Amino acid sequence: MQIPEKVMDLLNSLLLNDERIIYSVSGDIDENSNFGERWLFLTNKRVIILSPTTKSVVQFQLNDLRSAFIKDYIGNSELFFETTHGLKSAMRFSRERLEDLYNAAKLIDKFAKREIDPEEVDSEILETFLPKKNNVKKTQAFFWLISFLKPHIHYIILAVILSLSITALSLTPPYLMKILLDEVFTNRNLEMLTYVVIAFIVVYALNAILGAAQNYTLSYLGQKIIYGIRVKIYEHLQSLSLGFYDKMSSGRIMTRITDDVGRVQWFLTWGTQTLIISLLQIIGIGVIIFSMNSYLALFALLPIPIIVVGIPLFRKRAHKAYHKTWRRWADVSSLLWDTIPGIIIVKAFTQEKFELKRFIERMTNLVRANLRVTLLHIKFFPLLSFSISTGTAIVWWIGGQKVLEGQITFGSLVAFISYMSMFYGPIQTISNLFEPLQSSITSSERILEIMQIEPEIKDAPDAIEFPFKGAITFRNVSFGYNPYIPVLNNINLEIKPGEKIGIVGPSGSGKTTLTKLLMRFYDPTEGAIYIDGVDLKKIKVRCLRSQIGLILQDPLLFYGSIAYNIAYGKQNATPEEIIAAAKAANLHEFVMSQPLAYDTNVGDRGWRLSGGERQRVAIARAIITEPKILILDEATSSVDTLTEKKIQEAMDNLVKGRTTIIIAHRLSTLQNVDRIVVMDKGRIVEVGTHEELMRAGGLYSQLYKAQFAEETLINTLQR
Amino acid sequence: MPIIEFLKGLNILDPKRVKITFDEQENTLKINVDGRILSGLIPAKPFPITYPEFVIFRDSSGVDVCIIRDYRELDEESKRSLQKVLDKIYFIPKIQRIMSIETSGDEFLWDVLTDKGPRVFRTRGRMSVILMGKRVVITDINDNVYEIEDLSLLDPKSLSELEATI
Repeated sequence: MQIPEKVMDLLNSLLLNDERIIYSVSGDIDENSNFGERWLFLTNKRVIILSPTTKSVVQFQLNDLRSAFIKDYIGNSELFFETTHGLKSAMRFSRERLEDLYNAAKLIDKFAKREIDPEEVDSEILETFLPKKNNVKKTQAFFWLISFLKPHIHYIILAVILSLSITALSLTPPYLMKILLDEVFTNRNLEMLTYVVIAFIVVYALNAILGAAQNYTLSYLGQKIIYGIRVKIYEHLQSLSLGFYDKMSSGRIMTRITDDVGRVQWFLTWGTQTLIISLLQIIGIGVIIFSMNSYLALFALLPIPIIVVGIPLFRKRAHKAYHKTWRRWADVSSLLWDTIPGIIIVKAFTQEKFELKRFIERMTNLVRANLRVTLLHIKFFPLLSFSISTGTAIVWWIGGQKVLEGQITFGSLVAFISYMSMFYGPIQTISNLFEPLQSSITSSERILEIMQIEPEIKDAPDAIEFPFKGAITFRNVSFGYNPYIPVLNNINLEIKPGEKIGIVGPSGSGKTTLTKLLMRFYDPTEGAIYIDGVDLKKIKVRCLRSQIGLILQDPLLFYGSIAYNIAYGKQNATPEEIIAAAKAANLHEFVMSQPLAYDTNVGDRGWRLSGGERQRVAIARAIITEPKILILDEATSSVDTLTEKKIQEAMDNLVKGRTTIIIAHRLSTLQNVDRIVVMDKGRIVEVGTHEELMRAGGLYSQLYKAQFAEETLINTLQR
Repeated sequence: MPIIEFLKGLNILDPKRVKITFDEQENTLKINVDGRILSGLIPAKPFPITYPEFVIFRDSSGVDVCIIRDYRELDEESKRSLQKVLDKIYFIPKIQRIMSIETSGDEFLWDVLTDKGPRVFRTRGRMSVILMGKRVVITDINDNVYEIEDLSLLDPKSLSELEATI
């Protein structure tokens, strides 16, 4: 990070002889709670915090520090030091600086707790605390786009040749008209009339043929390019870690592949072609009209400033107006999405009139917004065509005089005016192109933004593969989705091969996060996880995940048959393996009762099946891969008691001989586990058998008693 | 429990060592495996579309008794006996010619000629027509199933009708 000179000057005046700077980070709120530059320097002796504008300096001796931490508020956060003289506020900063200051706090904390000696700190240790570098390479979006054009260069050349030919052809009819008026009609030349008419037909025919060829070439090119880009993005998306999907909503990701790629395609094919053709037309027609009569041509240029300035201005306003109609339309459609599927609530609360009133309000706003767009069009386009027509009228006036004076022929004037009208078209087109051009460049930047994100979870170069026995060790594991908000705190746990572990605890206690780390969807921020004594980071991700079976509370199935979904984790599964897995999952009888049995389609995300059936498909899907380790995350919590029994039997088949981690909200489902781990606020608070934990009278026994009372009450009520 | 345990329980028979006869009175099948008789069996296809040759034999209470992976490998007589029962249970007419496919709303109206005679039916939604290599399986709105065995054997008019709509 570049430290400004005035800050360095101030700092140098404070530094002692043998004092050296180890670390620096800047904040953005000064000691008076106003936005202002502030710097924190960590030296081998002190923490120095200074404001270059107010010249205020705060210092803490490293020897006095006991710990460092950050408190996160709304719109700002605060760095605190626990010192021998009590708790001291060090500096405040906006959340924009949170990640950097969090790293600083972590480093200072290590110094304060004497875990790192300030005299011996080296660059390797510092590396882990340095502000994260933005890994987005600023490759020009433009060049990236062009790279997709390269493989299709021959089609591009063909398209350009076709465009040139079409442009040239479009320039001939006015010339033919000139011949018609000046030669044919003036000299009553019937033979020539035939030739001119034939020439007209040939020109129009060629125009149609070349137009079709150009259309096909560009569409083909467009499809090829869009195919390349979409496949590249999808491939990249598949490689990205879950962390990426947490930060970006599915909707936004999908928009990149659908809308953004569409806009880029338009720019790469039609956009560039239209631009080239229009430019060529302007040059071609410009040359023609100036060589026909440069005096008249000057008058033809009169409306151009209005077109060039007016159209972008209009587009800017229209863009806002269209955006407004789009938002108003979104208002209407969101109301429909709420009230039509939720009609039962509307009717139950007799709010039909209220909903109608809301609908009318929103529709009125939509109509208003649409009318605004119309008004905008009415204001601009008649003005534009009037100015163009005025230009034409002036040329008729001046050119007409020249015809009467015998300076030019009538045919030349007519041809001139035809060319002139053709001249404005491409100028309007180019003016119209600015905005879509801009938006497709923005789109390509948005696509690139995703393409340049590197997967966080990657195989180490020396990663290995081996068949698991199933021993799991969590050693000093800490983790937070946001590094400064820890979800897991110093987790230590040993699980033996084949052991069944239940994990319980209030929601938000970190149970699921623990299993996500085991699947290596994320890496711990501190500590490490081992399987059979090997660090997860040294195991190939594919090897790891293929030996862990995961069953979630609401299992997601994919569009396709039941067989397809069961065999998802083992694409080459034989039909008898699919049946065996379904039998183990207690699913076979249900499947055979369906008309198409295993070939029955489950619908999008499995909606055609009930929750319990989906759950058993998920169990079969896990069984078929023969995982050594199983994670059941609240797998029975969303199904009723009757189906739960079937699922429970299926689970019993599943867990036999496998290391199993069962996360359960309902403690009664944990009767057969070997040990229960109780978690609270990201820490393991108790470990033991049911009996041991009940005797201990800790959190587990409280949870159990509360739940037992609740279940008894429900059972009584149901009776 | 390893999946192999469940695989063993499936009782997969070798079609070469099996004789199947049709029991007219019971309307069921009898299987002779190396002299051992399994009787009162009803065949079922667990994968009527993807592996139509795969057959499970179940007793009258619906319990699976044994499996033949590919019944086409049975001897001719056994195959005939089995086919007779299967044909009744799985009435999947093969479409030989498509006269027309018309769109109305979100439905398709098919006018076809099948090996079981001419037929007009309606389909709805994208899961009603499943393409598997050269085979097409069509399920109508009443869950009747039709099949085009091999797209490449379809006449050009039928094919173009199919391609234009699906």
